[in-house]
Amino acid sequence: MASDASRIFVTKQFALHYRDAPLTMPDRFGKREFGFMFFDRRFMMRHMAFPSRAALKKYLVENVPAHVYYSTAYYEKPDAAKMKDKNWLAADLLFDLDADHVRGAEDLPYEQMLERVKGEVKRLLDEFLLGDLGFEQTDLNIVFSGGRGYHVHVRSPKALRLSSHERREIVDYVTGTDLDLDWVFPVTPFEQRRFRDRAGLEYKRTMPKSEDGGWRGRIRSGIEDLLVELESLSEEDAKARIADVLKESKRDIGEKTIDGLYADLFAKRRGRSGADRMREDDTYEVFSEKRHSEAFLSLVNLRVCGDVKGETDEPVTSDVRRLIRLPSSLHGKTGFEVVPLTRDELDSFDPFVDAIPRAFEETSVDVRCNSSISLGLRDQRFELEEGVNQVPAYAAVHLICRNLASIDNSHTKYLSA
Amino acid sequence: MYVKSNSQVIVLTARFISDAAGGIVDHKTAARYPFLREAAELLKSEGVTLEGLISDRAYERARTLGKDRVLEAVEFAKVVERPIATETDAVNELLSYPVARMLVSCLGDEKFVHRYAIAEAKLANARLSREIERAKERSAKRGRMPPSGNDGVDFVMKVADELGLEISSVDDFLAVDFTDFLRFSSAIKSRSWKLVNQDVRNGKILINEGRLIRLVEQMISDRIISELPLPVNDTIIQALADDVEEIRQQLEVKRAERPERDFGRVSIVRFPPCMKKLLEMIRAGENVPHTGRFAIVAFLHTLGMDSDTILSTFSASADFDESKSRYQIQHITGEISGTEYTPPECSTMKSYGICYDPDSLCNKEWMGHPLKYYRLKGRRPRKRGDDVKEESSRSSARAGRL
Repeated sequence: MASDASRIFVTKQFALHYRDAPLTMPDRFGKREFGFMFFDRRFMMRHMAFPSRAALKKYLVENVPAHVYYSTAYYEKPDAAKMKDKNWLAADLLFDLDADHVRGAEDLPYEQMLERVKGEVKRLLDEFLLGDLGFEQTDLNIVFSGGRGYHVHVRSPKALRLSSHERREIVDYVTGTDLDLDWVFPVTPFEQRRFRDRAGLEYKRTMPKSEDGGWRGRIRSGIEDLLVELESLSEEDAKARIADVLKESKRDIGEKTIDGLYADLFAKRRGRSGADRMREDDTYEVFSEKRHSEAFLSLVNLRVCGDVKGETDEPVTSDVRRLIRLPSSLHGKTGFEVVPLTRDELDSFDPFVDAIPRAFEETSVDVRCNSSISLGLRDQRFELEEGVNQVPAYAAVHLICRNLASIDNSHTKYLSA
Repeated sequence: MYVKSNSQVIVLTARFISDAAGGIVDHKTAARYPFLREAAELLKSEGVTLEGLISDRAYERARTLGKDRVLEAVEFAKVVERPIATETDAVNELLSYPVARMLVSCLGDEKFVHRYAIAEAKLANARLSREIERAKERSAKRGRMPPSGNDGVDFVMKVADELGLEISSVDDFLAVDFTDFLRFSSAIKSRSWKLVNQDVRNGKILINEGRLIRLVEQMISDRIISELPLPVNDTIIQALADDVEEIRQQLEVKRAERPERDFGRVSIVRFPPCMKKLLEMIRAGENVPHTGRFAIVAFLHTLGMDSDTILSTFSASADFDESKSRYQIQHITGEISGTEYTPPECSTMKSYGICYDPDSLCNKEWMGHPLKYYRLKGRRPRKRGDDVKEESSRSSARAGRL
């Protein structure tokens, strides 16, 4: 933090929050390890345990940490100084969706980045956790991380004792890693040509059905979406779109193949196109040449899988001893509250309104901005110039924590008050 | 003596366990699946004691069979299936199981407990598979289409249930909870068993009969591993001493046959593509993710490279920070943490996105670990005449030394 004055100011506001806000405690919190980082110290204070909510609250009010963490694991002795002496009992299943791990999110402005990550969280929840894997809403704790993303904690008893390897399998499931297209479109050999005694073996692929589960069903509906999308475009645009996607393919797929692929899919024979037959007859056998069929497979792989892949930070999920931010604590690099959310609340959640702690004050404060900034917080829009600006305290906390501004030293009356 | 022996057998065979409680066990079934709790209860209710089992002449045959079970586990990693034609066969087969367990317990070798457990589980797999086959044949003979749940499958389901696996039915398919599936398939490395390649519906995974049996096999070996070694007293140790010694010797012979686990000189030409790439990236000063640095350090360490050599390998990189790197390396090699890490398996490398440019050897169904790649890549096809093999392996080591 830029200056002592800034640090003291932010600490005071944080203290107000910890004094007033009700703490959300994780279940079995007595068995969890806690860790803290402070504005004026570089190391993390960890291997701590709290027997009661009151004890933790007292600690937070007195020490006002910049970051508060607790372990997804619970231990027999959470405060043992060595990991192996803690005696691991179980751990929540955790998903960490952060802008760093969502394709195309890392370069967006902060507001849009959070919106993009939120979209991925909804997909993780609806398609995978509540969908395929069949968890109940009540098993899930959704949390805005206060920083660049969201966390999802799964507390279903059956998830608690999953090993690291088993958790990684779940990550691979969500991200579509190592998906076997020969499983999605099973190959069956059949004999095609006979020449004297020699039979040429050909292979047929079977189209997954819409009622199939897992990635089979997901790819089937992805194909349907892809076909609808291509049908909505002119022939020229559709071919350009196909070529664009196939550029990423390892194989070199030429114009002629794309023309052939397009004709196989959309040229009508007896009133029906290949796409129609795919959808209506559950067949994959609409291609006149093998290279068209292989190109379509690449297209599916790149486009359909690429589009619907879940995103999550893999090492976090498979780490069964990870520390994670405590819901209802504050994030020292944004001043946002780490907000617990239900699935319904997530839809309308706006961190720039809902994650500003109520306890932060409206009092005006002079801050010096490093450059001009435009942002909305609570229900107010701020257009700030480089140099000294007067803003409410809650906005000052956010700007200072993000290193966008500092307390203007020439006005210290607030601090001495 | 023989009179006594016969009378024992008669006592055993005369009393069939009543099936009133819906149990699944008669003598022949118990003999085929002796790991079931009901089989153990059957023995208990017959009044068979461990002391009797190890010393009584009546159980001579059972003891021989018990030793065979263990020796077969040593030799073939599978207990050989013996036909159970008569009640006497059944009783001896059943009794041989606790004998085998005592022998394994006296041996007190943790690795061998695993091998033995897997060997027993494989036998159970073979027998369960046949239950289903036979049931299919029976229904075919009756000229009916096999019903969706044939009684062979029902039996396998009962065994699974007894082992603690809940099986449900989803859209007329057998299904298990995905967490159970993960737990009992985690030892199976094949790609077709990955969760991502399963038909998952609302938390359940659809499985066929073969997969069900494979899961049950895993549960059986898990159960046996968790049960062994049993506590054995001096009487048992003394009574079985000769047999245990024979098994120990066989085990040593078998272990000596196994290929050398030492990796020899580190040879970069044998590196899998992922490790080559990671090494290149580090040397070029590119930004390598933490998981990648971990993987390459653990890999080099496992091949026997010492920390200083690993450090100097890395020092070429542009943003090289010696003290930080040294700390990280020593952490992974166990000098600081006390835990020696091994490199991640292929599936983990894939999850972390650091499985680069897999080649044809990587893409083999059974390929699961970068070290396995390294081990196999170095091996020349077996030829007659050892000197040829010596020469070629030596020259390849020289060519690719780091």
